[in-house]
Amino acid sequence: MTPLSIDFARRPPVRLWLWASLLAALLVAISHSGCTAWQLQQELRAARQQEAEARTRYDTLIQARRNSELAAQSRPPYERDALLLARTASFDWNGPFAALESTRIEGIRVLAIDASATESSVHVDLEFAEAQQLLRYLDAINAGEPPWRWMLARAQAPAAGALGQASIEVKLPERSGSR
Amino acid sequence: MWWAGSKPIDIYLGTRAVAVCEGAQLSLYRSVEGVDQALAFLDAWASGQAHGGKVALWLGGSLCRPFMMPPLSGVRGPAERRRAVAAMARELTGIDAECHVWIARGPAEKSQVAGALDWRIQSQLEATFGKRWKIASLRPWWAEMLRMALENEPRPSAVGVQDCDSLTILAGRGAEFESAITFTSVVDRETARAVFTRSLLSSSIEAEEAVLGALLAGVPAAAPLASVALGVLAEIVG
Repeated sequence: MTPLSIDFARRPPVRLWLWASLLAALLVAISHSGCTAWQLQQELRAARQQEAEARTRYDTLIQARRNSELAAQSRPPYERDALLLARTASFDWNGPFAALESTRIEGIRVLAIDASATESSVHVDLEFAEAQQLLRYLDAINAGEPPWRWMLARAQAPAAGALGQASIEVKLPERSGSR
Repeated sequence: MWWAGSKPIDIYLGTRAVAVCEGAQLSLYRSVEGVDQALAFLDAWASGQAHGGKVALWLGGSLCRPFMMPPLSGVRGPAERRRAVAAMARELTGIDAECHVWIARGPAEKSQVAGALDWRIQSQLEATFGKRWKIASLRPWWAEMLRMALENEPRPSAVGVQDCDSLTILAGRGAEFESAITFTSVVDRETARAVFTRSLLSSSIEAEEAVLGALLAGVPAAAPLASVALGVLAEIVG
């Protein structure tokens, strides 16, 4: 003989418990997944916010760097003068001015001298009585085959007792050895 | 208050007595006349308790009777087998009512031990203990004594269990049951011994291979059986 498991107590069907357990497990799994998803979403949101903040900081830094670079690259207000000074120094002014100073022709009078370092030229306004005198003056001022040459830019012949007016100009040569 | 893990209160129900044991303590023993009086008493007792709990209900042999189910051929499935056994239980046990049956596991083509319980008694017990109480088990007390007897070596080939109103005898060598029967209206010890001895002779089982246990009538046993439910009232008498 063996012990008998005889028992008439009625219990809920096993399947009901099984389904209830499965349902409970499923609910737990779903709630756990939902909780995990919510946490992940929160973490993702936090990470995105951190990324946005980092990007903002990065952009700010980059902008500041660019600004500093731009500030470094922007030309100082005195640069133009300095450039002009440097350019002025790079040309040989002495030759043309010495020629202008030493050339004397009767009937020719220098009215104005305009030296332009930016255009590297010297512009001279003249007053003359006769056209022949003006031509001789040009020959005289260009005598000796210098490295520059005065050119007649404009001439207005004398008329009705008024003197003629002309403009000559010279392109300045750079000093030897300069850039 | 009842907790899921708490030990249930053991309640014995027979046609001549009702007993309540909390652990090894006998709380109540009451002689009754008939199962209806026993059920009414239990109903009053359960209602009178301040709180519910878990109960293990133990039935006397006249209320829950074993029997040998003859081999059934051509039965398809456990449900059909159960219906067939239920239909035969009244004739095989002598319970004159529709019965709830329990069948031991095994092939339907072989004779199997079974048990039957009057549906009306089960329903009334469920009505009594169904609300504030939880029925942990509803078992015949002879099955508890059989379990206890089979824990000893050598295993007995026959176990007799006398309770307040009957003598139940289960016999068989090895793992098989050869006979299972309840003799009702066996209330005194001498009659129980005589019926048990005669049953052993008819089964060709020596007295040394048999154990006769009894439920005492309200008097705590001199040598109570600690390992059995209602053990404070239980005693090995032969």
